[in-house]
Amino acid sequence: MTNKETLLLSKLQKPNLKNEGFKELISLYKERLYWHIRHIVKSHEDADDVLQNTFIKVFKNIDKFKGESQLYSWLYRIATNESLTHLKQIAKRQQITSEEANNNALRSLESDVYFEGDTIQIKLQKAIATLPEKQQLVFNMKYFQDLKYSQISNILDTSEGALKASYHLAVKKIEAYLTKD
Amino acid sequence: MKKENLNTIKQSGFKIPNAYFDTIEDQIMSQISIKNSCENSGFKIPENYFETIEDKIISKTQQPKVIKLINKKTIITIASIAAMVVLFFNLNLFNTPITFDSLDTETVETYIIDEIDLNDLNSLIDTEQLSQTDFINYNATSIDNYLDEIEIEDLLDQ
Repeated sequence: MTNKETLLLSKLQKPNLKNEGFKELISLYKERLYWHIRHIVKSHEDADDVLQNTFIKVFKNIDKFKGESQLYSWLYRIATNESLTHLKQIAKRQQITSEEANNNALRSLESDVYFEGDTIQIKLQKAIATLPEKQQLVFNMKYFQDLKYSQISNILDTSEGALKASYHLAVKKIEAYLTKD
Repeated sequence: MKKENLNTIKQSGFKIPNAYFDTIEDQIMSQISIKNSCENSGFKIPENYFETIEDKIISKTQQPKVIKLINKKTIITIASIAAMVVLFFNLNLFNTPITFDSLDTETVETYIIDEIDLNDLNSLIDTEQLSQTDFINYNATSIDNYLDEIEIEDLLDQ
């Protein structure tokens, strides 16, 4: 863990400094986690919900964090789980499959005020949606957020070699999707 | 000694994955192609979103615990009280005493005809109170008087 993370963690685990430390933690990670979540759930409203739930979960469980993994990978892991659970809940509530829910989310992107894309951005999102869940995660983390393979490996608990293979496969598929017709 | 060692090292030890150089062009070109066609994701956020998010989240973590009125424990308590009340009234109905007035004659008759054996009636008579002397020990004079009182005409009439 970095010095900053260690300092922050010691603050978070002291009852009298917990709130102050927590505010610092949010400031430090809010943007990174937001964009990570946003690329999974697509709409701003959903991303906002999931981001808040993620931090609330972190607040409740910070005492259980033992520092075995790095703080950022623990946070990213919670955010990833919360996002995927959120998508499953939407599908369950509407009694449709995850794929259908995903397609609905993409369709509503076209009229979303917080989406400023022309056809190519929509097409890229559609291309990403054709990938298996793990490849989607790897692609988003690498392509849009520029995370290192070692970081992604810690977050997703997958070997770097497997991640590289996943990413290259994803890139190939997306390129093929974008250049067709 | 050191120099000799250096001279003998012919390989750096670095290795590359299988077919790395065969696929590297493709991989780079694919990425360039995606980057060229689509530089950003198109996702936008509301103004000042990140400035206000800390306070929003912190206010949610400070909320007092909401105690639900309808929780499992209350439901169980209410249900058991309701069950007890229902049971109480049901038992009470069964306990209403049966009076002779509430029996109708027809039922009693049918019961006596169908259910009671003649022998059963014996059991109703207390044998201790009923001794032979009750029948034998009569007063002779009272019988005489009785016979005297009967007139012959009466007997003839009958």
